Amino acid sequence: MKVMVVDANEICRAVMCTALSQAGFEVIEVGDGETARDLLRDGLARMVVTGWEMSGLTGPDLCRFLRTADLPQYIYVILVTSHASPHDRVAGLAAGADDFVTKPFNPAELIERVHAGERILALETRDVAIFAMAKLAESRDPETGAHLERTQAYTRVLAQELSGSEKFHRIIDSEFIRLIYLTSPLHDIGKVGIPDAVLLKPDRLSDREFAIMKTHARIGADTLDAALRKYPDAKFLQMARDIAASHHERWNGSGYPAGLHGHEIPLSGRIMALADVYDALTSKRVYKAAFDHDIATSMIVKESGSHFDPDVVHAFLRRESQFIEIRNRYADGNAMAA
Amino acid sequence: MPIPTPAKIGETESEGLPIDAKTLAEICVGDISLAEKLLEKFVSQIQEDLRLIDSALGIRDAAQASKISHSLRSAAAVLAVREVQRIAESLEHAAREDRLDQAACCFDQLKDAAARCLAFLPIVRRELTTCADRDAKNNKDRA
Repeated sequence: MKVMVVDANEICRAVMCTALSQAGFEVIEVGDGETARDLLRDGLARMVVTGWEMSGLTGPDLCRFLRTADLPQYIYVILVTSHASPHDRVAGLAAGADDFVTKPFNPAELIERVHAGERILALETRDVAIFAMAKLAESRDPETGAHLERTQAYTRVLAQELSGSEKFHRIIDSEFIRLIYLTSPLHDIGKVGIPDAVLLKPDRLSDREFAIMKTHARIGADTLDAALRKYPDAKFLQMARDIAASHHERWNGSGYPAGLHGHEIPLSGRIMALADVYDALTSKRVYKAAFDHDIATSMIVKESGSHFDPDVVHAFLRRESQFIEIRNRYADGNAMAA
Repeated sequence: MPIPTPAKIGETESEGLPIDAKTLAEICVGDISLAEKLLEKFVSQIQEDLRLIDSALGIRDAAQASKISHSLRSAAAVLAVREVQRIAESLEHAAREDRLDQAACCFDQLKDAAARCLAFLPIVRRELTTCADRDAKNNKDRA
């Protein structure tokens, strides 16, 4: 595994690099935070061991970047520091560090902490499995193209924007953002239970068929509830279940399946609702052309307070440019290149 | 002078040694040439940092004095040069809180500690050689 060692001090770097090289890791040595940020953005390593104090981008600054940037995979960060007070540790963890090593450190301890990080990263295969499951569900609905990738990115942007507001910053932390990105592809998992005659029907659905189609929210929630009963502490399952169950609820209570109102609808579901509708509006369907961004935006704004949570709509308006960028990046037929 | 065996890396200050060769060898995962190289770098850094701290305190630039002290503390901590680490930390905090008179006192102590380190270097180098010879003999016996 490649491990990036970042420290402004040559002595610190040399000790860490030697220990990790001798343990069999492929080590990339970097002397400043800015270079590390650029290399990590290019996907050069998934494990970072970084010092705290650096001129320019510090270790905690680098952590904050890694936790908020649009990166394709999780990067594990170990802060190596002589800042050992509880206050410093809290600050480092809040910035997004996964682990700490305090100077002076025992090389064996550093190596074992990197090994522990490797085990955590291996869990990401779970994330891949979740995405594969969602893709399987999506494969029954071939018109939707790169819908999952786009809505995944839209939900993260909305959650990031909301996390910066007074109202939501205590609710939406870096874990919430990571989980909504991870689980939003499962929003339509219940479509596996919809008969082909309804799901794949090219014409407008009859009332009866639409009633059947609407059951996908309940089917998805029930499926994930069954998994939750077995693993009740799995936060990703809880969020996946909330999204699957509530992404067709409406702020004014006119949605389905439960007719929930306002804050009765889980926040993840309210975010997903906007992301899903924006993507549907701006994508081509058999029965309609793709609307351009401005038309889709005006339709969403019009539905603020009726279909959508007004706070989520405000977040969308503040991040419009990113929605356009994501839409272009994951344009149907372009998903593999994105 | 016999080199004590520390219970853990970094717990040698009570023995009064400016630098502990055995701990240094452990930190360098037994790579004695690396240990010697790091010592050379540390000597260069400590001399340069003392000069920079002196000039920062001379113009009452507390932020710069704190920053350089932190860097020195960090390097000293990694090499388990505990006395320098401890005094550099005191200097860093004093400077950060703009207590420049106290920082100046710490600086005097730091110069003394650095001098003790430098005077101790020949002993450390000899002990590192002994460590290397002992490791080589152990390896030969095992083979």
